[in-house]
Amino acid sequence: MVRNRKIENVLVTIVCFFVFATACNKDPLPDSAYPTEVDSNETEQIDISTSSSEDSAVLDLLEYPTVFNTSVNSGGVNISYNAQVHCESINNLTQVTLDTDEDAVSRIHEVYSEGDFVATRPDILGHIGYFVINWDLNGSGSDIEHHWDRHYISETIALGMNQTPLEAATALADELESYTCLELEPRVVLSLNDESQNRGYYEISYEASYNDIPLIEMNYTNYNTGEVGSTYYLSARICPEGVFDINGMLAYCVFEEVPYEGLLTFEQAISNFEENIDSLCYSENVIVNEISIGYYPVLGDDELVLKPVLVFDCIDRIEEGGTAYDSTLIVLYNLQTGELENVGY
Amino acid sequence: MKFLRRLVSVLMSIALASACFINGMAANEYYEFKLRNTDTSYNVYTGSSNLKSYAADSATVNATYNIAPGWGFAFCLKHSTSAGYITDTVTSPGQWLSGTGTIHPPYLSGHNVVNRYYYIAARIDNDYTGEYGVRGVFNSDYTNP
Repeated sequence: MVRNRKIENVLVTIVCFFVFATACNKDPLPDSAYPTEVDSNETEQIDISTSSSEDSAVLDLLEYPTVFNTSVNSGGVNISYNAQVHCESINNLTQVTLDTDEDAVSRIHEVYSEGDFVATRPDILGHIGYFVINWDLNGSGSDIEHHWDRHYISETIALGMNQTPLEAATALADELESYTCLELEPRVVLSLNDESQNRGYYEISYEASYNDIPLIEMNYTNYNTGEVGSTYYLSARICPEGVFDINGMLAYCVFEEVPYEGLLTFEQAISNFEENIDSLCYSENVIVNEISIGYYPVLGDDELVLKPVLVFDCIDRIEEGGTAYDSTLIVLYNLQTGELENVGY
Repeated sequence: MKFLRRLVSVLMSIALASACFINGMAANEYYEFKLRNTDTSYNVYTGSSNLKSYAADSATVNATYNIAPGWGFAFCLKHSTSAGYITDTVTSPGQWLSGTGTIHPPYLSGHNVVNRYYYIAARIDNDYTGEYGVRGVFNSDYTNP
């Protein structure tokens, strides 16, 4: 009986040893993520919080150029690449899932109790709608046309304001960042005056980013639903009395963050773009000004996924009645699958 | 006479003070469309909305860029419900904007609701098949952009 128990103990120990050894040897990532010459014992799953170039060194690093200049004709479309390539962080990407930060929403309610706090878009996660009717102003002027610029900061101090447009926009960005996990930067700041009330205001569009990678801001037309959507937007208006309008996507916390293996090579991305372009553009002349990485915010029922994408920022040069019109064309490719994610403007 | 002058002066002061407290119209909101032929269906721009302040006012749509041929772009205002977007301004006759400028689409009867958020919707002339863009500002009240 005693001898049987000893044999049983030895067998259990051997089984445990094998189970343990197998577990230690298990690859956390698929084989394709590793260069073939690397010993699997040296590989470890990347810890997002400490991810660095040394950690990533065991993976196949994607190499993208910093500029790309050439011209090709693809499917009858002349493509002129005159592009800066901003993909420095391509090997440090993560895929992030955001959730509404209910605590932040409560805190915003407390601070901005002066106005009518309305959820203008309850269908958009983390959306904030705040408006003070009594402070409302309506300005006009040449600054308005700069609303569609990629970057524009007015230097004109509006009537009754004691801060410059940049000072006011930056101070509000610092405050709004306390309600979100995103970083905020003023992208466009207009200075407008309401002559009828002898008061002015600043109108601000913010750019959001996560870990220094910008969230894509563009409009797109969904012909199936008849909606013209925006991938991300956050705007605010400030008058001499204070902030009288905040509208957009703000109150977020990180729900999940997982490593993301960018597998799309630069050559493959260019090939995919040239293969698709004739069905995406309207004209026969496309100029590619910038190729960069970004987060494409994809709204689900109860989450906002920031999907890493490669962004082709282009001009679709349309000739109409002898006049050339430059129309913005933004093409997004999934960095993992290389598939077309969306097309916008 | 002195009393009358003082009375007029007091009344004018009250009128001036009242004028200062009249709410401005909600600031104009921005929109941008790039559309192909969607027949007579309107496409809603969901990136901005505008709160209506004055029931009697017609809406305002302004274009600073518009390259659509023919009749140009037709616009209407809608509001969001759980069942989808409901049209609130007149679409027959169509409220067309050819080139740049401003139009003031009137509201359908009973659809001019104060403190309701309105969205802008548009379509191109369905005689054309190309892709055309338009952008500008809109307001659910009467403004002069």
